[in-house]
Amino acid sequence: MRRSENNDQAASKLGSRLDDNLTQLRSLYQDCFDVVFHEFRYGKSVRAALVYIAGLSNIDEINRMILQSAGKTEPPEKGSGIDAYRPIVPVSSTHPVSTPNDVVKEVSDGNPVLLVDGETGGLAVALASWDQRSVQEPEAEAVVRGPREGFIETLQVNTAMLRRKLKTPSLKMRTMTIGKFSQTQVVIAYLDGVADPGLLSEMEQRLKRIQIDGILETGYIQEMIEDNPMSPFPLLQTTERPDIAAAHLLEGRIVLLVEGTPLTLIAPVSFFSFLQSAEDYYQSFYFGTAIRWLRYLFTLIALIGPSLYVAIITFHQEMIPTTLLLSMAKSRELIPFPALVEALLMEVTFEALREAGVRLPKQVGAAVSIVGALVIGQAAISAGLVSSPMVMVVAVTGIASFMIPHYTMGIAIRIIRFPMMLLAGFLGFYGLILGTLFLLTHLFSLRSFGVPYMAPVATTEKTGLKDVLVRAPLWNMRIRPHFTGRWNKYRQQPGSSYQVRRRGGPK
Amino acid sequence: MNGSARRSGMGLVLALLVASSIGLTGCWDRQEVNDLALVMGAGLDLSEDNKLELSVQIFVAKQAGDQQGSAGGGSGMSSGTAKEQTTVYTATGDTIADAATKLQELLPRKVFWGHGEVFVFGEQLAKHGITDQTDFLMRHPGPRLGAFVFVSKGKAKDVMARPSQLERNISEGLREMAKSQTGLRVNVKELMQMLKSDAGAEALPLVSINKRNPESNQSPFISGTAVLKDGKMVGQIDEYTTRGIMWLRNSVKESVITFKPAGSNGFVSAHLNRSKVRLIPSIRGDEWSIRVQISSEANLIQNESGLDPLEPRQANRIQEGLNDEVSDRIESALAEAQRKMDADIFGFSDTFRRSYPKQWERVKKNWSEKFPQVRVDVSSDVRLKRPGFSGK
Repeated sequence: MRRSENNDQAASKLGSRLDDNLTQLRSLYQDCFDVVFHEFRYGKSVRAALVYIAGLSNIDEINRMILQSAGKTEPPEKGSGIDAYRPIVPVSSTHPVSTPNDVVKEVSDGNPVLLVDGETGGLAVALASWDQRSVQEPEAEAVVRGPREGFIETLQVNTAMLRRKLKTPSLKMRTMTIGKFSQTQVVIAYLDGVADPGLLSEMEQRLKRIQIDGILETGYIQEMIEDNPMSPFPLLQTTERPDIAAAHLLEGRIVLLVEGTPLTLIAPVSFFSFLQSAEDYYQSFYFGTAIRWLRYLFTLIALIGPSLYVAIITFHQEMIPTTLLLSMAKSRELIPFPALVEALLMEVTFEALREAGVRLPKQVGAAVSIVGALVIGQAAISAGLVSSPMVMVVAVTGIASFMIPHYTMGIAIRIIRFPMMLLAGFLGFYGLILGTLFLLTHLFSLRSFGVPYMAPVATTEKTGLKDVLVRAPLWNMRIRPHFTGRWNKYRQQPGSSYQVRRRGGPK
Repeated sequence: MNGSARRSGMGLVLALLVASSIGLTGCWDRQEVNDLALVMGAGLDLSEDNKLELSVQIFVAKQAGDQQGSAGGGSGMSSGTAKEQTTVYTATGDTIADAATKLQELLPRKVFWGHGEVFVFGEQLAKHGITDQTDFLMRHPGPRLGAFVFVSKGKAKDVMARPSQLERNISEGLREMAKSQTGLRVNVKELMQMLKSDAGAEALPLVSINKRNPESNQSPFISGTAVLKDGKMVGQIDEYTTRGIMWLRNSVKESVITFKPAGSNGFVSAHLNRSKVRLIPSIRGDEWSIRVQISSEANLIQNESGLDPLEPRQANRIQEGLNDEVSDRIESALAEAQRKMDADIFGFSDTFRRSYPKQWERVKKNWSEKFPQVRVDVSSDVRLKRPGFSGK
């Protein structure tokens, strides 16, 4: 009952009587102590009111620009319309609002709304300002060489950072509001003339279909719009680095910026872009290539390292070199558990330690790592619970899982490690192969916004392999990735790479 | 809505299927390492009542310092004392398989053949015949085809019971000795190939224990070659002549030859590498002959002869001496194996079969009569490549 009443009021129009309007708004903002209704006068006679939320608007500016001058200013004639007040309010941006709905929206955004007795509608004044985190180095995606700035929680700052990277009117940013209560602003950024128009409309459609009460993080949107919602693999990439976002825009992808979170979403993405870091492109391409191979190797270890160990030690002992087996046999001699139990024990402990380390306050974190080192280190061995090779395997796997530069992919790989271990423990190599085949089949069937997840592997796009198998020199990668960039094929002038190599740059 | 419900239903069915497959197949062949008796090597002997005696050397994972209890697990990866790491179990049966079954009854752990790298046949058994035993080594999925095979002077059991001075245990020691190619090196697969070939003769490295002092702790070593015909041992060849056999079998990769060149009274030693031997058969009428063509490179490593290897004529004399020495070794091997034992351990039969299949078919049946009559011409082409320079 109450709700529908509120809605009716919100849908109606603001009248010209200040008291009526205020009553209406007050009833909307019933029990909202943070909403300020400040009444004052223009000149001697004209009553006016300012509606704003404490902490969202700049009080100093309100005092200086509106309230201080109000007493001294002679107001326009009554009935000359709210627009007549625009010159009186010395603020760069003002715009009229006509319904309580609009008022609520502006007030929620931090823009004070000026209501004047005798004038229909109100005037929203752009004086929004609230405490925000300053731009800092993104901790989750650190680089040695590369820009140090990261997105923050404020949308305008983020769009500005993106605009600074790509100073072109081709960088378009469409906006949408999602979330019934949160009214979260979402910006769809893309490069006009590079991005696929079909992709854009698909993205808009998927976003429009979201009917939810609130969006608190990009994760909400990601789960809602992924092509295969049941897959453990992330089908959209997140980043808090403007340079990564810009790089993806240049390859024809779409970047979603969401109010209130430093993480942006990138679509469509391929599996391999989760194994690439920004620095691959900033350092020498020899280094970039080597690091990529290292990453591929360790991703594989993170996925099947413990399973491989369990399978070999419980089923295929003849595969281990004799001397190594003898050492292993010696250290396993007094262990009461089967290798599978041993491995699960250690891996679960390791995951628990990692999780505890992430959640705990920084001051306590050190204690966790010390205890952790003891638990999965020497103490476990000397207690006779686990063998020393197993500790090695768990440690290497732990390091390997931290080698994956994107956290979301790291989680997926870590989770899948456990069923793989069970398969290896029950069926040996047979199970391991079975699991791997199942996983590969799944991976190759995935799509991210219609683009094959494993592209360019097993697709007809051969040039894309230059950015997967190796990190080819920049002057050699003249063509944008086929699946997202074929609407604007060349990112370098045809023939320019030849010039770079021969003469040190285009003439 | 409907579609997703159906899909999740299918997912459930799939998950059930996968889960049941795990439960059904189970882990029937799962074996923890600490439930295995790791066989390092096995010795096969003929017992007095003509049965097969199987002696296996089994790795003992328990450490010397295990009394300390729980702390023992920690030092697992560091290798403990070399002694008492293995133990020898012996079982008797009608066949190896029978003996192995009986052996299993003696052990609390499952016998695991996958790391048995050495099989030693006792002298008595070798004389009795080894073909049937080799069948087990080939047919049973456990033993490795790459395991090395030896014949021991005396009982194989005594060899297996010996410790190794440098290696973990004697099996490992024998394996390393075989790999270093100071003597013959034959694994199960090669032995099987020899047994199946038309030559009808096999050569296996001979292991012996120090004879002068049988109580001494010295580890067994390779001391020549055992020659077998149709799986039965017919004779032994000493170390020196073994080198000749290895030349003929083209298994000499490196060797050091010491000799006195003609017309000098000091020794010259040369290190030979890149050795290559070709057997070229030819049949003229009834006369079968083989030309043995040896090519090798020599580096002078010691020169006591007073000859100047930088002076072409004197260098030639060294080179000729080298060639004579190599030919001599081959001649002595031929004398032993071809003329005395009539055992074609050099693979002459295969060479003839490949080049003259028709003639071979006719001779095949009585190859053992033909073999001693085959004329062998040795032509050695060893070149002195690096005379070294010592200032004079």
